[in-house]
Amino acid sequence: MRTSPNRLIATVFGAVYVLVGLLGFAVTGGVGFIATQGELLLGIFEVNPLHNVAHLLIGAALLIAGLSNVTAAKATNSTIGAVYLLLGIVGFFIASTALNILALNTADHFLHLASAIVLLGVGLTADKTVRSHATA
Amino acid sequence: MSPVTRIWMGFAALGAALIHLAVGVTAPFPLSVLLVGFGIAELGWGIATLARDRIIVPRIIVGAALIPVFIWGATAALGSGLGVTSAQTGLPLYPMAVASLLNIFLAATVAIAQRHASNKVPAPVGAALHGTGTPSGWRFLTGVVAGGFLLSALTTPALAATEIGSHALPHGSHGVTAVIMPQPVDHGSH
Repeated sequence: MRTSPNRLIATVFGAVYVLVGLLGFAVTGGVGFIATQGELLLGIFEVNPLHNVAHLLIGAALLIAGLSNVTAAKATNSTIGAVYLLLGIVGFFIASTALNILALNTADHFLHLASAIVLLGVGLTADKTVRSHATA
Repeated sequence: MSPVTRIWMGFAALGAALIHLAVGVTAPFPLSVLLVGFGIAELGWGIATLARDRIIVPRIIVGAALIPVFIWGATAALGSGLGVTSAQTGLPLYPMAVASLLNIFLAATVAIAQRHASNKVPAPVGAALHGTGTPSGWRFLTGVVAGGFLLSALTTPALAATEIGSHALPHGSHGVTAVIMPQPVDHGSH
């Protein structure tokens, strides 16, 4: 794992997102599953239960891919990075509407954009010579 | 050019693209078309630069990256001459300043890389702008993570300062969690 930037980033980001997902449930007790106004996690990031589930799923996908092999980590990093970038664009347009089912606020956008940039950057640039059976 | 520098250029293009798209959506008609067009082009160029091991169309980028800066500069100069504020021109100051900073970084970095390429042994310009092998190691990761968070720290407030971004803070979460006033304990005793 130490030689693969994709596996390292996927594992670290995966662990952080799983932790964030679990912590989120500690503050969203009375919040509706897709409420457009959630509760603040760590006093900054607005989350609702659906947002927590999304964090858990994304974290689990990254963690599993990171612990598996380079190909899986690279594909997962690129895919989740692209989805987060899309969310960064779309999120601003839907934030004040009923479509904001993830209860996104500006701090969320910052974290999502940073994640998108790093995951996409590593996924698209690193481990290019890896073959499909590699497990570096 | 080192892989980290090339990745930072891709990041800068993505950041500028997001800001130009966000500003372009609410800008007046001719500016809207230009900014959305540049946003889409920057998005495509940024992803292509990350995906390939070289800078795409370097000679075009040096000039093209500066066009949005000139558009903003011309609009602001014209607006100030007519007594119109930057917000009224449809190009808000802070987001356009950040986007221009990213565009200037792009143009300057590509220009420097081209200059270095021309000083070396004769070779195609694109070849000297290629990455140097497969990037790996802690130095690479640190560069990527630092670049990602730096870009987000610049871009997110800029996006929030756009007209479309001003709606991105749901009610009740504008940086204040909650202020709970103490309630009188026993009304019955009065």
